[in-house]
Amino acid sequence: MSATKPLLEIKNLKMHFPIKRGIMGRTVGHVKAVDDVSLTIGEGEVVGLVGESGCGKSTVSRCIVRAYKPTAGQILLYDAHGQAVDLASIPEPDLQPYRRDIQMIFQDPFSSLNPRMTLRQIIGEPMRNYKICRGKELEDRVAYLLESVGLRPEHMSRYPHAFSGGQRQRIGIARALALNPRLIICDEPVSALDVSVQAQILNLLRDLQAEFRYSYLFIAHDLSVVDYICERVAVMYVGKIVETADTATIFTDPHHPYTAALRSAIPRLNPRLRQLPVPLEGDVADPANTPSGCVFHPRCRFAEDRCRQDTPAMTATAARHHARCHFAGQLDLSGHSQPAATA
Amino acid sequence: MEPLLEVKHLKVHFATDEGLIEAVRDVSFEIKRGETVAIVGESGCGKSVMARAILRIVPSPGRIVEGRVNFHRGGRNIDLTALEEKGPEIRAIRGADIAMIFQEPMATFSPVHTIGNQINEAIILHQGIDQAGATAQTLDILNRVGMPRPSRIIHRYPHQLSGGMLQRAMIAMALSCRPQLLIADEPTTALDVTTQAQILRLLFDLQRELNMAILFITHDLSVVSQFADRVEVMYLGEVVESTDVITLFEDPKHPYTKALLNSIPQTGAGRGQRLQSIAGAIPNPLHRPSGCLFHPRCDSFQPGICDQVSPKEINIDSDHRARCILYDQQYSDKVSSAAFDR
Amino acid sequence: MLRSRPASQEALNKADERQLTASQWQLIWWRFRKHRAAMISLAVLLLFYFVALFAGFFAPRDPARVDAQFAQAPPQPLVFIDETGFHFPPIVYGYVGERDPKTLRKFYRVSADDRHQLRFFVRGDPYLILGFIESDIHFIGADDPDSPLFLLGTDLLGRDMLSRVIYGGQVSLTVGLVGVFLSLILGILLGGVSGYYGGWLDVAIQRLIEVLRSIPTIPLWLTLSAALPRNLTQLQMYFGITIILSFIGWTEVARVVRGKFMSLRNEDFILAARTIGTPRFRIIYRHMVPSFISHLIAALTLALPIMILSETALSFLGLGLRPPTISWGTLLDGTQNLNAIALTPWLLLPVVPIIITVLAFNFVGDGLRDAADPYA
Ligand SMILES: Nc1ncnc2c1ncn2[C@@H]1O[C@H](COP(=O)(O)OP(=O)(O)OP(=O)(O)O)[C@@H](O)[C@H]1O
Ligand SMILES: Nc1ncnc2c1ncn2[C@@H]1O[C@H](COP(=O)(O)OP(=O)(O)OP(=O)(O)O)[C@@H](O)[C@H]1O
Ligand code: SF4
Ligand code: SF4
Ligand SMILES: [Mg+2]
Ligand SMILES: [Mg+2]
Repeated sequence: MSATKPLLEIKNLKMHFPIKRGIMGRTVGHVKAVDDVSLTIGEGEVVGLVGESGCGKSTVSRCIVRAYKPTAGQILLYDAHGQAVDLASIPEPDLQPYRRDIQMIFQDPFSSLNPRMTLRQIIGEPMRNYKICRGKELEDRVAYLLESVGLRPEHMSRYPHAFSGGQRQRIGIARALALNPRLIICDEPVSALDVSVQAQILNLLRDLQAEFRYSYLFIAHDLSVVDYICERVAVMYVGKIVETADTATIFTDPHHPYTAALRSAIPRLNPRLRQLPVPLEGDVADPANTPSGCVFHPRCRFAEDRCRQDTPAMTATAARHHARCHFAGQLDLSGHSQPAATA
Repeated sequence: MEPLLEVKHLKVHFATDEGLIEAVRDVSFEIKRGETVAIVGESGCGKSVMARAILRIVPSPGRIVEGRVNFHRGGRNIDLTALEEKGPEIRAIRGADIAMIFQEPMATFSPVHTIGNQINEAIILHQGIDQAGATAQTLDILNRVGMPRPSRIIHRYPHQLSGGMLQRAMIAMALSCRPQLLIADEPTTALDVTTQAQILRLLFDLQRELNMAILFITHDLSVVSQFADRVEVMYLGEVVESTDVITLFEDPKHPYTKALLNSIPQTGAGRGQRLQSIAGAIPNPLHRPSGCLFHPRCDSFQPGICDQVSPKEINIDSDHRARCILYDQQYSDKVSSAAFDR
Repeated sequence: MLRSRPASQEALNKADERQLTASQWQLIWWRFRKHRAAMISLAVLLLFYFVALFAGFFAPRDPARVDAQFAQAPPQPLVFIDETGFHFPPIVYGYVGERDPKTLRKFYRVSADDRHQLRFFVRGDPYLILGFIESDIHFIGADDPDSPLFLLGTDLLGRDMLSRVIYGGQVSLTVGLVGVFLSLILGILLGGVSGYYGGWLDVAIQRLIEVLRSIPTIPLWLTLSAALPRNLTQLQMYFGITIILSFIGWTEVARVVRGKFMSLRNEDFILAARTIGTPRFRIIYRHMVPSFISHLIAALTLALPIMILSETALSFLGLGLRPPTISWGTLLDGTQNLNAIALTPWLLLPVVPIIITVLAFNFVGDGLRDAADPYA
């Protein structure tokens, strides 16, 4: 377990996309894709970020790599001496030296590789950019990286179209490793892969982490994948983190009603343990038009008047366990996860 | 019990510019009344093509080249593959006796008509009742699929509904004529887990109520374990294992099934145990491996046999079949016993 | 983890490896090759350009040489076989002048009494190869350089139509090309700026494009060419016309480029390029431009025929190039008179290469468009 030094600290991050209408591009509202997210990732720690489609997971990751300039908040990156820079606010040209510390692995193995470049060019490009090496040395390093992700170095002159989805994902991983980053953001790295190939990639990511002690921010909508790879999990709902805890406890003892519901909605892999899902009513809230008070209140079976008015804050409910609920730690959430009798 | 639908040695080929794709190679199975049969397999293994072949809506250039699909209706036994593709008989069966729901609900509905109109139309077409009667039925069925405020929803257009609501509307349309068989092609794959849970619950309840059979197509084994009575595991156009759901999870025989089950992470298993992965990738449908289609990735691969002979479907017991030479008497003396342990 | 297997999948032969290491342009070429009509058209076009490039060599005569005694002579057929046997190189028959008894107009008839043996690589009118090497060797010609040889007939002044059509190709085939090239440069530049930087620049460029596109093309061209000063040299005139032609073309290119830049900005591989620290300019020329340039080239190939036709139309109306510049358009200038067409129909022959060129470019463009995205 990690009582380690923090590597990245996200504080009150907000990313609101303006909704524009008409020819003059008048702003008529905002999509609150990320609305007050705070999260710390320690050195060598693997943190999972889970939530349903559209809850803002990718937006968080894109803010970290500054694909978007956040609306508000801080993203502090600590160096080895504990000095921090705020990636959310420094000007674009000054970002260059910090970019190499944070790399990204994408969901779609097809769109994330330039089809017009060979593996040598794709994996060599980051090292070229930072003038780390060139010529023969570069080639050797590309070969080494290919080997470490389980591809054959002699395929270096091939183009991505020569590879299957799983192999392309390995290429993307090799590219991310090229700069020896400290943090790797994995945005649903296995969701687009064939089921029989997912385990290969998950194992690869786990082995690499064990060997090089990378920190991962591992984004997924599949709780079992997160359970397999992460030490700590943050659950997101409509732009907000609603619960964080160690993986071991979050699924056995959730403290937020949404986490409990999410967990019970996932079908078990056991035909004798048939559980009639107790589905959540209604749909995920629209981030352009969020409910007042607790964003979860329209679907929460514990909601009270207070929930409709006051926005709950993140509160500690146990050691290393936080939940964003007025009644965090006081609710009996076991009903959500009780298995029904065998069908 | 008499089967409702029997698929026998079905073969569907696509003659494309690049070559022949044997999308469905040799698929046989049956569905009894009120039963849920799951077809599980990875992307591209031919699940959708097979389902469409049953309803005779294979997209061009696909063609059913062999096999029968026997549908038992009112004591009669109709071979659906023998019917004329666009003829009145198959159209009468489609939608009324056998209904289908798709992964992409948006593609099922026309964007220019309201939800209510489209469901009404289906009811009028198959039941020949008047507009008022149809509307009453539409409201009733929308109510039954748990649609909030049906009387308002019927005036909405498809793009005004969320994914989950649209999926409910599609189920409502499919069930409007009380089909005996519902083919559900990955009905929850595009949905979030909480919405998926809603839809699965709904299908489960409706099935009980209407006593209808469901052919449930998915690539998600956990959904299978919660939902199916029987399972057909497909790989590259073939059914490789076929049995009841308990046996499949507790005593799988085919190396592909075993490997697949071991490669799926499970909640609660934690970080301790390492996943067993399957080597390689799904082959390109244009370049099928020789012999057993799974042999380049199989842990129990028997050199000299698996890469040369196409395994037959072997009866493990009365209700359990696997397409693997390990269980073929013919080769029993040549197979090393270690192969079974993996 | 990948164990070696005697599996068909693993045994990749050379041909497969070639496919796997093929670059974008190779893949496009392989796909293009399958398109028969496009391949044939490409061959025809290459031939046309080759002939136009060495026009002096392929033209039997100097296109400006006036042979007043053979004005309005009809085409001479090439004769390979006649009663005297088989001829290779072929022969042509000479002309006899006659007078129409009713109109008293003089006209020529081809007569078998007068034979001229043709030869390949004969000496004739002097010309410059590629504009600077002096030569007088012609691909085909009569033994005697002064004997009449008018395979496509002559015009009103007795100039050889074949030579004029070949020389006309030099202008007509390149006006479109240069116009398209200008459109491409302007379009990528302005569209790229518009799409990449956005903001007020984008708004300004977009409005400019909208204004330009809302003006009907033909009147715009007419006005612009009317505005060209009369006293320009041939070369200045030529560039004036290409600029007029590309005036509208670039707007389309700019719109496409802008759209591509906008959508590419959100592509994962562009974001990936940023996260690995690729400089902005390199992202543009290494990642963005290559991913749409093939589409653009296909689109422009399809736009070429329009440019060629526009030049012809403007010149035909006397608003484009003007004699003594020779282009397919100016050659048709003399056919505006219906009477002239009835008497000298061969003056319409420049239409044939125009049609062939336009069709060929359309086929090639189709082929390119189908092949442009080998990763689809
Ligand atoms: N560039 C953008 N402009 C406007 N809205 C955006 C933009 N990017 C994302 N959004 C909106 O922000 C919300 C969050 O999107 P995001 O992609 O972060 O979700 P996600 O959690 O990654 O979902 P998924 O699981 O589908 O990947 C969505 O409602 C989306 O429509
Ligand atoms: N219209 C078509 N033309 C050519 N080939 C096709 C066509 N439709 C399907 N195929 C081929 O048939 C095979 C089976 O496709 P099918 O859609 O049934 O797969 P699936 O099991 O439903 O996969 P998924 O999980 O992705 O839906 C594939 O290899 C595919 O290439
Ligand atoms: S604050 Fe209220 S509505 Fe929100 S999760 Fe807690 S109990 Fe439910
Ligand atoms: S036939 Fe051979 S290769 Fe195929 S599944 Fe059985 S053991 Fe594996
Ligand atoms: Mg995402
Ligand atoms: Mg499918």
